[in-house]
Amino acid sequence: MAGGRIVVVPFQGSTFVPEETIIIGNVALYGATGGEAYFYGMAGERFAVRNSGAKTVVEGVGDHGCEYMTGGVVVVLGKTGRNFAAGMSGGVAFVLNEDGGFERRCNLSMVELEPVRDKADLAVLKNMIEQHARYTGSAKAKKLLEQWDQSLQKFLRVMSVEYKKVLEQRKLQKAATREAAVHG
Amino acid sequence: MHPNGLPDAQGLYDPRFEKEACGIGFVANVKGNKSHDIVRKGLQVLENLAHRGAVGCDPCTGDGAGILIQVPHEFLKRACAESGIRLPGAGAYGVGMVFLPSEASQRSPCEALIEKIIREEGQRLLGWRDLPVKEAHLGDLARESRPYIRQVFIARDALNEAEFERKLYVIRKRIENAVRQSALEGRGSFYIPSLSAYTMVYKGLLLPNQIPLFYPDLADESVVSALAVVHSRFSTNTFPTWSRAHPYRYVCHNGEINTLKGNINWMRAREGRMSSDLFGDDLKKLYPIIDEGQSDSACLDNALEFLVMGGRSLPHAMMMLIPEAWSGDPHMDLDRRGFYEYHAAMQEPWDGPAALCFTDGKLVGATLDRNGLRPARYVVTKDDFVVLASETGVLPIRPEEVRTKGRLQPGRMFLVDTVQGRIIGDEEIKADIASRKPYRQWVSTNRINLEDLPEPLNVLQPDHATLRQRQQAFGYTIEDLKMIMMPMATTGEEPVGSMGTDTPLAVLSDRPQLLFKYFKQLFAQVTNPPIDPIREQLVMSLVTSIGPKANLLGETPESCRRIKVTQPILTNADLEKIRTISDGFFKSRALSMLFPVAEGPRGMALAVERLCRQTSEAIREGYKFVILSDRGINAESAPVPSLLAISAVHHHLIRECSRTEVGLIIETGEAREVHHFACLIGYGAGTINPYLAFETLTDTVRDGYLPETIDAATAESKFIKAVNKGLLKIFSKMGISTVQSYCGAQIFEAIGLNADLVERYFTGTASRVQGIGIEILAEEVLRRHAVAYRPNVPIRQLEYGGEYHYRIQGERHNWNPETIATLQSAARNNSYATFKEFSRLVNDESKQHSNLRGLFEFRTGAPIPLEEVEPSTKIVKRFTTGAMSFGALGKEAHETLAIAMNRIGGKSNTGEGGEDPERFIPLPNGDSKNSAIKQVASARFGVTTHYLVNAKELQIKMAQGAKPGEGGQLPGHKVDETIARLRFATPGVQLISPPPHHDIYSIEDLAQLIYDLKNVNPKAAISVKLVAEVGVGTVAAGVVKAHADKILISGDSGGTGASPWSSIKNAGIPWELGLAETHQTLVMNNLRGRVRIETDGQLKTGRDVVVAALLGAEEFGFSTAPVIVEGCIMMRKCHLNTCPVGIATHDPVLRKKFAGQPEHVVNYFFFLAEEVREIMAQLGFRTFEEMIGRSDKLKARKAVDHWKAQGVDLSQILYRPEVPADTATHHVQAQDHGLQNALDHKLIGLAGPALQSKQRVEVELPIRNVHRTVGAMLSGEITRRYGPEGLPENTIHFRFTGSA
Repeated sequence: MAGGRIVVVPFQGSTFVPEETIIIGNVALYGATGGEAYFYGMAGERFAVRNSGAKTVVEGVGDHGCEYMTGGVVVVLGKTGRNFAAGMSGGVAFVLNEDGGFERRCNLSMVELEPVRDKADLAVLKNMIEQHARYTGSAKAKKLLEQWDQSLQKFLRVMSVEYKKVLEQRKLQKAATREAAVHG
Repeated sequence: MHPNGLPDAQGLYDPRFEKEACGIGFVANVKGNKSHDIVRKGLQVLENLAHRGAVGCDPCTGDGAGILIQVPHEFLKRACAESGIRLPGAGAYGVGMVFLPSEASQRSPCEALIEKIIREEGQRLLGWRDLPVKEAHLGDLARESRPYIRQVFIARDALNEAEFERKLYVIRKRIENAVRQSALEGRGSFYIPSLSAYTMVYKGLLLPNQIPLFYPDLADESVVSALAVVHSRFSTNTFPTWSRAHPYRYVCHNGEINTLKGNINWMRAREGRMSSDLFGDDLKKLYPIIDEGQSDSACLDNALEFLVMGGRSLPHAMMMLIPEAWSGDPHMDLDRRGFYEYHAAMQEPWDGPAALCFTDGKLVGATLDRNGLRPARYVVTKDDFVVLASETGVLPIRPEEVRTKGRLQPGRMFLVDTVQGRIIGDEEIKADIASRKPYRQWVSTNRINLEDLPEPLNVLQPDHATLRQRQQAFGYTIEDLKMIMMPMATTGEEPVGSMGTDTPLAVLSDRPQLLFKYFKQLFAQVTNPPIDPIREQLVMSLVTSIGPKANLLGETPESCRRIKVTQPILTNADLEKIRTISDGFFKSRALSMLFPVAEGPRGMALAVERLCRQTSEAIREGYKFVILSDRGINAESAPVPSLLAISAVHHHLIRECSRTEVGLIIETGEAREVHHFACLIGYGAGTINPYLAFETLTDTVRDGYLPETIDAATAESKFIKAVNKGLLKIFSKMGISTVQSYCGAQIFEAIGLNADLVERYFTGTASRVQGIGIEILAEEVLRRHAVAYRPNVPIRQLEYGGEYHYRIQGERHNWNPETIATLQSAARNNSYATFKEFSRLVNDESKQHSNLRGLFEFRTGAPIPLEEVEPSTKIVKRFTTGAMSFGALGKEAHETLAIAMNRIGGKSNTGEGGEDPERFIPLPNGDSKNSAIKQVASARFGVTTHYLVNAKELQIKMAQGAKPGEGGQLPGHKVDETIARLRFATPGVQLISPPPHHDIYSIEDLAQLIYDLKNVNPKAAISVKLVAEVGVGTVAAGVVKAHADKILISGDSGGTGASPWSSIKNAGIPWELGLAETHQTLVMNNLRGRVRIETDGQLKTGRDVVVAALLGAEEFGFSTAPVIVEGCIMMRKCHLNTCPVGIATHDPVLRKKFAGQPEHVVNYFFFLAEEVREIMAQLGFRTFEEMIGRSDKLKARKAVDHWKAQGVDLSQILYRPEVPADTATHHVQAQDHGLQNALDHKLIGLAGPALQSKQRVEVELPIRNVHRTVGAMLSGEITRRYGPEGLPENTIHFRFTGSA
């Protein structure tokens, strides 16, 4: 996927619980370089593997989610499988940690978990969930938005340690250049 | 003809490498209510999975399909009555489906045999029914090979149901064995799809939709069942093989068992030890349990059936054969863990990708392998109907009927019990089985942990005085110490190198080589994926237990009495613990691997025989461990190569069926590289103590060669850590996860060993160019030994080696200062004379046995004038440059190649790093930097629609010659702004390429990606890059059936920007073998005409090109040579970003030194073409095309007097399959990609207003699983018209309804 928008919703008339039911198969958004995708339901194994630019919201993923990811934004409004974020060197994922067990299911050899605090992050996360609610009509998304402040507490930001360092360096550099410009 | 309808092995083709993939599924009524509707739905699922199967060269002949159902009593009663058979009541008889020879005269002896065995087993034949079939719809191939199909009915008189089913199994196994051993004519078509009182299998070489047409039974409303298991097959050949269709008796399988050879051997090895109350004396009639020469799935079915008939439940047996990943899972329930640990002591995993549907006629279920490398989705409806299949949407089910939907997760099971009338989830099944017996307690009582044993009082200490001599005797070089062992001991990692290997094969080397060097690692490509052992460590395991293995059919507390080790490398202290263990059960005996030097080479052969004999004696005397040791070498005694010793003993014990009675440990001074350890384990070693490697490390620490922070103990533990990591990497290349299943799995191909040696000591290993025997092998040992123990001249210094870097005194290298300088001079000065000098140097080097092609010579005769040969300008179009990424190469070096290739009409390759879109636009002077070939590799770096639509050829890289089966890493310091932009990443952050394409775990997945890419860019040819290994021909056949337009066969000598040295040196085989195998296999399958073949791997001269063409190549790839033309001097520093000539670097200062010019590259390729023309003239070929595949124009060179090379036999490479005269032997026709059926044609039509004038379009459409790709062609169309920016948001809105 390099652009455009994909929206996947269950059939009208379905009686199963969408956020607990699989709606897309394995390896969705593999190597995506751009675009947006909203899935009202769970994804299979290796969701967004090698994602390098797509922005997406999904309600749960199988094992090895966001593996080798280098860019883009992934929001998971539910449970993940094992080995989340293995080899993830870039981009960012926000995971709703409802049962408090996400840390166990995440591969922490390259990434770290933090609450969502950064202003820019907050804006991105909220906006994407709003879009998700709008395009899919997701009950879960709506519920989260209704009690946004509480919901927010349960999200964890997943980011590569190395990537974070580079981003921070860049910020500093920018600030320094700006300062140099001001004083120069 | 091979028993299964496959051709016999010939040339380089061997039927045992045939692979398959497929779609699987089952439907069931949970409550066990039988209906015809279930059968009908099963057939419907099958038909909707058709696109996962394939058709061969004959479009009406499928690769195979089938359905398994319950025995429909009412129907059979009526049908049998028509044939004059009176059936007893339901369940009181067994029914066999039997494939028989079509000739009546051949049929009756088969039937007589069956009847005789039924009688001998004390059962009563009820009669035979001719199964009605309609062959009107069959393809020619299927019709010609069709067996005569009959049903046999056997009465259940005295036995109870379970006993009777077991008896039917015994009868079937006896019949199969008897037929196999007989001389009956037509036995090739004989086969028994099923013989059971519960289930029946209808299958054949059919397309899914032909099943109900061919078998009219299935249309009968009284054919009822509560379950149906179905399978649609995609095989890597086009040979008529009715028996290879699934389902088998208990399973149908989508996947591949990578450890098959080991699993078969281990099963055979157990036969001596097995006993069973249920079978009693019948047990011996079942041997061999696994009928070799069948597909992997059929072998697995044999093993599963055996366990189930031996008394275990179906899910229990499944958990033993395909265990989930338990050893690395800290959260697993302890009882369940206990279950797996207990059974691991008896049964190694059948390892590899697997989605399995299984049934015994009452239970029906499915399970996935630990990696979840195959998909399975299910739906349960509110009226108790279940459908599970390889993909969703195989049956139309109204959304409001759905109760639950789900997918099968890695390692999980899904079970329907039609007797209990309910679905049982993974947790419940496993908890139930794990608590049947106190497995956990049995393990803790009976199994010993090596760590828990007391530290030994005495441990063998280093002997510095004799170290140098012993190192020399085992072939150590300074390079081994400096480049391999010391880095391992310092960093705990395997050392990394770059560029391709250009040293001779072991059998062609003047120097004595270790036996390990004759073995090449195999790897997964296309039909199954390699694994990432680092990022997906949770599925990997080095934990194993050693010692004897118990009776597989027994279940006693003592069955798990073994010693557990956490990894297979033993320190000296570890080994002493085992040697001095106080538990009298685990007695060990050490056997010496030394032989008297005075006896010469014969002495070594005798020593091997002695070791085998002594091991058998030790077993008889009750020893539970045998330690093969080469300690104690001295002037009089030399060591048997450790790999020879272990494999000889291992195979000897398998033949004696006593292998499981003893644990084999090897104590050797020889092993020191990861590859060595992998070989030893792969040929049967349980654990290894590399004592001399440890002594060597201690010595380097003492001499101050390692950093001060590293003492001897740290060096040792880091070395072990590096070996462990390297082992996991080697396993994972083949998609194997555990050392337990790797042990004895023989995932190697031998190059340069003769058939006597291999058949005797390395039974079952492929060795296709023959080579040395045991005498020369001993000669190599003795030569090393002689240098070490030269009388009165104590050895002070090891030899340098020169294997990795060129040294004047060292190993020969194709690329040496002379060849490099000559080529550069020729290209820069546009001097054909200098090029001829280069080519003479290289060809002479080849002829001095550096590579296989050097051993050929041309059969000249009837030469023609040079002017009559097609012009160079035409020939250069067949040349490509290799896939070196922008990332591995710097900007200037990369663009220079592209400009040069565009000037001559050849093709340059982007490599896997994407390409700057500005290069897609031609330069004002008419040049173009746009690479014609755009690669799609596992990381999909820079793969955008814009990239794809700007290619002439799209190359899917499945493997790379330097490191097949591995991923890669671009370190952060090489990721600058531009590279990060093109790869959609962040500067300074490392980038990882996964080992597999995560959307290609099998051949039908590859077919899908080919179709996707073709959709995006219908004008581009799709090529698939494979690496040569044994079996690459059958993989290639599958790839052609997956509709690739071109296949690239890369040799093992291909280059790399960075790879572990052990991979550069030991994985893959020369292109001569891979290319010839591919060409031969495609010709045999009548598939050759549909595809172009390219080859690469250190091609340098016109002679190389012509040899490759004669072996079957149409196009030729070059990488190292053009890079040398650009100025490369082979510093092999590509992985360090410090390239001194500005080629493999992004450092702006170094890049200024780049002096390459497109003209130089152009010159080189025209020289090549000119040289090709000269040879063509000598051979009498006017056009290139007529030369392709003419291996009759090659012959092996006479008078090869090399001490090792004289045993090499090239006849298999030169083999030409006997095929009808009109069979294509080069590319003649385009593939039919089936694009005309794509839904996108409709979409593009509907999107017309948007495409033409950006008007908004909104449409609703239905969608189904048969729409394989949606939106890709439309995306390509948008990008072609509007560039990478595409159309404004919301211009095109399609709303699809359905499951796809």
